[in-house]
Amino acid sequence: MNNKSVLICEDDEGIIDIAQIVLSDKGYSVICLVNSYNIYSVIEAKKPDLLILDLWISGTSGEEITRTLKADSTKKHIPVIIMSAHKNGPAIAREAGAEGFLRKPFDINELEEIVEQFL
Amino acid sequence: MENKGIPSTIYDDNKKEPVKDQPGDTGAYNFLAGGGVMGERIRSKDWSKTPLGPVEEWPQNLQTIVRIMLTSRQPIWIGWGPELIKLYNDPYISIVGGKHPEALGQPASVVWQDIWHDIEPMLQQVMEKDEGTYVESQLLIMERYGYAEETYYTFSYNPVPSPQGGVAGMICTNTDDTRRVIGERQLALLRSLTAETVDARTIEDACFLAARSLTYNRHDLPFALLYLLDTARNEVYLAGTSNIEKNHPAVPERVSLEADSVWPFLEVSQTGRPVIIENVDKHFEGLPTGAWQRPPSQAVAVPIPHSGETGKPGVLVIGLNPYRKFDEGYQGFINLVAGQIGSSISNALAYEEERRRAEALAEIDRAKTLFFSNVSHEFRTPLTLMLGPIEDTLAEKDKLTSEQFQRAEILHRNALRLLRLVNALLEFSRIEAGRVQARFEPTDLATITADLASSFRSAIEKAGMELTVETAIIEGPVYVDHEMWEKIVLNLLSNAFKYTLQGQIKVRVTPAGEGNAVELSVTDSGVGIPENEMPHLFERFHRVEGVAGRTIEGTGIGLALVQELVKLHGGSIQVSSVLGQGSTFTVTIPLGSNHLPPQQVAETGTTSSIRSRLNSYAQEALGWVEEAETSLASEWVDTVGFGGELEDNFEGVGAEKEIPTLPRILLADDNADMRQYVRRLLSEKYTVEAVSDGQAALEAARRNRPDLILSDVMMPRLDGFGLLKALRTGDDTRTIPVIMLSARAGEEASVEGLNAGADDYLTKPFSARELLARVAAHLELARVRRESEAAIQRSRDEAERQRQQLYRTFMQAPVAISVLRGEDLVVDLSNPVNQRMVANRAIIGKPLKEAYPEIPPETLEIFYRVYRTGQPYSARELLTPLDLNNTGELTQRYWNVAYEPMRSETDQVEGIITVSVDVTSEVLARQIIEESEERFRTLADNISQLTWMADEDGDIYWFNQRWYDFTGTTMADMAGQGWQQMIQPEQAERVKEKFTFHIQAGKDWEDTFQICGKDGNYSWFLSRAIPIRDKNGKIYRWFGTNTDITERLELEKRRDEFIGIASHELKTPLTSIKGYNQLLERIVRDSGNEKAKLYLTKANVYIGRLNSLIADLLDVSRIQAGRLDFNIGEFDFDDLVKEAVESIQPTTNHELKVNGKAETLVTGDRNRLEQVITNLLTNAVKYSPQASEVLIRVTRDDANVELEVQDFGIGIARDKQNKIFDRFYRVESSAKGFSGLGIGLFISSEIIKRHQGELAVESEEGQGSTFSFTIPISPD
Repeated sequence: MNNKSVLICEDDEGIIDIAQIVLSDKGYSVICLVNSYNIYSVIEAKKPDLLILDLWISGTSGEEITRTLKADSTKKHIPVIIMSAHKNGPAIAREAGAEGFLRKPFDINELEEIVEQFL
Repeated sequence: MENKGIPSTIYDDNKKEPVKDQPGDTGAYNFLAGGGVMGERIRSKDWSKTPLGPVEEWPQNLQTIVRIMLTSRQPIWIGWGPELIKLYNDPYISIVGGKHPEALGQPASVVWQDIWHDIEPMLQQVMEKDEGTYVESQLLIMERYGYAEETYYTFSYNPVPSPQGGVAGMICTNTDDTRRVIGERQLALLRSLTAETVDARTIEDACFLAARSLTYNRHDLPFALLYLLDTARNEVYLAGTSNIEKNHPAVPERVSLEADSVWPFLEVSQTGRPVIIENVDKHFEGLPTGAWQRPPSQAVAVPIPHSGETGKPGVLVIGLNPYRKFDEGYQGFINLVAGQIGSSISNALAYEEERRRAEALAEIDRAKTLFFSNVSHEFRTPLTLMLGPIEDTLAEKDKLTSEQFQRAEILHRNALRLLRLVNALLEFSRIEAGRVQARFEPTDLATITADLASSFRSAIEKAGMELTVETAIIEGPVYVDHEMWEKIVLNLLSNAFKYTLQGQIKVRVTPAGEGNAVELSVTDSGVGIPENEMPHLFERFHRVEGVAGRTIEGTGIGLALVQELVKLHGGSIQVSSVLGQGSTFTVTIPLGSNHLPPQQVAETGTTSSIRSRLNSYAQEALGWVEEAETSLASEWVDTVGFGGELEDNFEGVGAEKEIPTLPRILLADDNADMRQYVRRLLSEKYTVEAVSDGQAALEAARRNRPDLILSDVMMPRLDGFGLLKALRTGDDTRTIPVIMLSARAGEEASVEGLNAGADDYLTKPFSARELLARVAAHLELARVRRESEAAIQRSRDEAERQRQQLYRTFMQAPVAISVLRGEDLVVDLSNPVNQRMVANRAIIGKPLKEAYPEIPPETLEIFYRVYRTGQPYSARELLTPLDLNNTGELTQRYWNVAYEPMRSETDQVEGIITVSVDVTSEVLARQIIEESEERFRTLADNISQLTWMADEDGDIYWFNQRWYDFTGTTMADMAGQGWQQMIQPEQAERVKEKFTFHIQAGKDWEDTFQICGKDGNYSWFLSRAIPIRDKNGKIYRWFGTNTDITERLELEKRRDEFIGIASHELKTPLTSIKGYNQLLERIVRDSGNEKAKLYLTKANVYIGRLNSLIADLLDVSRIQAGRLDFNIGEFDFDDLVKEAVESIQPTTNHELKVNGKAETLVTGDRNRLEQVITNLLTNAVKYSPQASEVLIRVTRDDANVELEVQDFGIGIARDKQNKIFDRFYRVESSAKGFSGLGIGLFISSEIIKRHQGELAVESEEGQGSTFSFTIPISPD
C-alpha cells in the first residue's frame, strides 16, 4: 500500500472503471472525473501525484489542461499521461508537455506499467 | 443692360492708363467699355448712319461678341449683317494697317477690296451655310508698317447665329504666322543647300549645286548670282545663277573689278561687307520676280567668305524679297547662305586638288604605257612590210642559190622573231592599259591543252626526247580565254623544249586545291634554274645568265607575259627547279567564273579548235632542231654578232596577226576574162568562187552560202534577174547581198536592177576601186544586218523562252492564274485551275468582259484600273459571283486575289497576271467555327464553372459570364494575363509560375488556389486548363475552367474531423472491452479454470482483430482523403523486423524464419512500416494453412533495403496478381474461407509508395507467394 494518488479524467465509464480496479489493486488511490469542467479545483483540492487525461474529454481538452498545468509553477511537477486513439496522439501529448502517452485501446498491463514508471 | 463682371475701369494694355467710362454713358454703352483705341472709336462713332443702326438698338448677340472682341488680345474682327459691316479691335489694327481707321463700319468687301477674291468664298460659306471655316497660314500682302508686306495669317471664321434663325454675322479670329512660315522656309533652304553641295567635287560643281538649291526658296531669294574672284585678272566671273537666265543683262559673264558695274563687286570684295543696291528694277528691265508678282527693287551683294587655304573668295548677289524689309533677320539669313556656299566651295576645292594630284600620277603612268604601245606599233609596220618580200623571195627557192636561200631563211626567222617580240610588248601594254578584251568561256581544258601540247610532239621526238601528256577529269567548269591559254601553254612548252636537250617533257592537267581549281604543270628534264634566279624569274626582261639552251633566241619577256595572262585568269604560277635536273612550271586557276569580270565571261563555248597560227610555235621549235642538225644557225648567229644575247633566256612568243576566214564571194559571169579580172581584183581579200551562168550560181549558192554574190545580168540558162528572183525566194539565200553587174548603162537599168531586189548595181566598165568599195560596203552592211538580226532574234527568243517558261510555271501552278493582255484585257492564258473556275469555258482570246460575263462592272473596273495605273491590286476574301458550272447560275465564292501588271521592256503595262485562290471553303469553315464558338460561348456562359479561353501563349481572350459575375471584372481588366491579379496574393507567384510552365510545355494544367470575388472575399477554386490542338497537333487555344471547391474543402475538413472522432469513438469502447477481458483473465488465471482461460484468450484475439480492422478502415479513409499521416524518423530496420516477427509469432504455429540483416538505420515511419510487415506476415500465415514456415529475407545495397516474405501456401493466380493491391480486392475463388476486408495490401502498398518504394508480388497458384518491398535507406 502506498499513499500515491492518481487522477484519471476520461468520459468512458468502462475505462474509468477498469483503471480504478487496476490501480486500486496496485494500492493507488484513484480520483475519477468523467469530464474536465472542475478538474483544476479537484487537482487543487486533492493534489494528485499523477494525471491520466483523455485527449478529447468533455470540457477542456486533455491537451489544453496539460498546457495550463505545465505553465503553472505549483502544478508543473505533476506528471501527466495522455491517452488517445488519435493517430497523432503521441505528438500532441509531447507538444503539450505531457510526460507519457497511452494509446487506446491499451491493455491493463500497459496501464500498470506506465503508472509505475511515474509513481 | 447689365454690366455684370465688367469692372468700371479697364486698363488698356497698350497705354497702361486708366480709361474711364464715358460720363453720361447709359447701360447701352457698357458693353463698349474699355477696349483701348478701338473701344474709344466704336463708342464715339455715330452708328445710326451705318446699317448697324444706333448702338442702343444693337442686338444682344452683337453686343456679346463686340464685348468679346474688345477684351481680347488676339486680332479679331467682326462682320455684321449681310454686308459684313466691320468692327475690329486694337490688335487687329496692324492687320488692317493703312485702312485704319476708315475700315471701322465699312463693309468687308470695301475694306478687303485687294484680297476680296481670296476671302469672299470663305465668308460666303460662313454666312450662307452657317459653317465655320479655317484657313491656315494664308499669305496676305498687307501694308502694316507703311510698305506692302508678306504676311501669313491663320484665320478662323465663325458664324454668329441670329436669334431669328440664319446667320447674323461672323467673327474672325486671326493668328499671325508670318515669322513661323518665313523661319521654316529659310531653315529648309539652308538644310537643302548643305545637303546638296556636300557631294560637290569641283568648284564648278559646288557653285552649280549651290545655285540650284537657291531656287528652292524663291520667296527670299527671287534671283541670285554667284561670282568668283579671279585675282590674277583682277576680275570676277560668273559661277552660278539661280532663277535668272544667263543671258539676262543683269548677269555679266566677267566683270573687271575696275569696271563700272551696277553690282558693287569691288566694294564688297575689298570691305568684306554687304552692300545694298537700290532700285535694281530701274537698272534692269524684266528682272525675275521669284515667287512674287513683281520684281525686287532691292538687291544685296554679300561676300562669299573663303575658309582655310583652299577657299576661293566671291560675291553673291541676291535680289531681295519685295515684300520684306531687309532687316537683321533677313540679313542674317543671307549671310548664312553665303557662308554655306563659301564652305562648299572650299570643300570642293580641297577635294579637287587631292584628285588632281592623284590624276597627275596616273597620267605619268598612262603616258609611259602609251609610249610603249606606240613604239611597238611603229616597229610592227616596217616589220610586216619587210616580211612580205622576204617570203616572196623564199617562195622562189629554185631561183636562189642555196646560200642565198639560207640567208633569206635566217633573215626571215629573225624578222619573225622581232615581230613576236614586238607583239609581246604590245600585248603587255594592252594588259597594262587594261584594254585586254578577254573572253572567258567554259572550256574542256584537258583536251585543248593536250591538243596544244601534241603540236610539239614531232619537234620533241625529232630531238630524240619524249613528250608525255597526262590529263585527269576536271569536275566543274573551267573558264579560260582560249587565245591566252594557248599562249600560256605554248610559252611554257617552248621554254621547256628550249632548255631541255635530252630526256622528257611532261605536261599534266589535274584538279587542284580542294577540287576548286585546276592545275597545269609542265615539267622538263632540262638545265634547271639557279636558286638565286628564282625570285626574279617572272620579272620582265630578266635574264638568267650562263645557262645552256637549245637556242639563243629569247627576249626575257615570255614568263612575265605568262604570269600576266595567268593573273588575268585569277590564277597563279609557280616554279620549282633543281639545277641540272629540270624545272616544273605550275599554273593554277580557279574553277568557275565568279573570280572573273562578269562582262568578259561567255557562258557558251566556241569550238575549242586550235587555231592555225599555233603551228608556228611548233614550227619554230622544229626549226631549232633542224638548225641544230645543220648547226648553221649558231654559225650564222655568231657571225652576225647575236652572241651577245646568249644570256637572254626566255622566249616570248607573242600574238601574231590572226588570219580570219575570208569572206566568200560568188561571181556569176559568162565572160571568162571578166571572171578572171574580177577574181584577181577580189582574191586578195576574199575567197572567190566563179561560175559561168545563173543556174550554176544558184546551185553554188544553195550548196554553200556565199557572203555576197556578184552577178552579170545577161547570162545563159538563168539570167541575173532570174537568179535574183530565185535567190530571194529561198529561205537560206534570201538575205545574201547581190550586186548586179551590167553593161547596160543608164539610170533605168539600175532602177530595174534595184527594183528586182538587187542590193546594188554596177555598170561595166567599173573601176577596180569602185568594185572593191561596193563589195566591202555590202559585206559590212550584211554583217551588221546579220548581227543585229541575230541580236534581235536572240532577244526575241529569250523573251519568248521566258514567256514560255512563265506560262509553263503558270500552267502547273496549284492556284488559278490567268494572263490578260492589251487594253481589252484579252485572256492569253488560263491555267487548268483557272479553267475549272470558269467551268472550262473557252475564254482564251476573249476580252475579259466577254470571258467573264458574270463579273459585275465594279469588279471589272478593278482590272481596268490595274491596267491603266500599273498599280497592282490584291484583296482577301473578295466575294465574287462566278458561273462555276456553266449553267448561267451564279455561285458566290470567296477569293484571295492578286492582279499584277505585266510590263514590257519599255516599262509599258501590256497586261495583267491574275492569281486567284478560292478560299470559300476556308471562309465558310471559319464562319462555322465562329458560329460554333459563339454557340459554345453561349453554353459556357450558362454553366456553373468559371470558364475561359486563351490563345496559344496562354493570353486569355475570353471569359464566360460567370467569371465576370463572380469577380465583378470586365474583359478590359482581364485581357491577356490580367486574371492573375485576382489570385490570392500569397498564392499568386506559385500559381503564375506553374501556369506559365504548363502553357510553355503544352501540358494540362491543374491547380488549386483562391480567387477574389467581387465582394472582396476569396474562394477556393480548382482550376484546370487543357490545350486544344489543330489537326497538325499544334496548340492554337487553351480552354480553362475554375470550379468552386470551397464546399468540397469544407466537406473534406468535416470528414477529417469525422475520422478523428470515429477513431476515438470506436476505440474507446474497445479499450474498455479489452480492459474488462484482461481483468477477467486475471481472475480466471488464479482460479485454474482452464476452459474459461482458453475462451478469454480467444476473446482477446478477436479484440485484437477488431482493433486492427478499425485501424485499417480509418487508414483507408485517410488514404482516400489524401490525409494519411506519417511520422518520419530514423530507426534500426533489423529491430523493426524483429519486433514485427515477435508480435506475430505467438499467434501462429508457423515458424517465422528471418534470414539476413540490413544493419542500417532507415528513415521512414516506423509504425507504418511495422504495419506493412505485420500485414505481410499475417497474410503469409493466413494463406498457407498447410505450411509450417514463413521465410523472411532482409537484404540491402548502398541505397535501399529490401524485405521479402515468402510463404508456401495457396498462391495467387497470375491474372489476379495485378489486382491484389487494389482496395477491397480479395482473392476470391481460391481464398474462400479466409476472412478479411481486402484492404491490408492496399494500405501496405500505399505506405510503401509513400516511402518511395514499391510493393511487389511473385506467385504461382498452389506454390505459395513472395511479397517484397524495397525502400530507400534515405529517401529524398
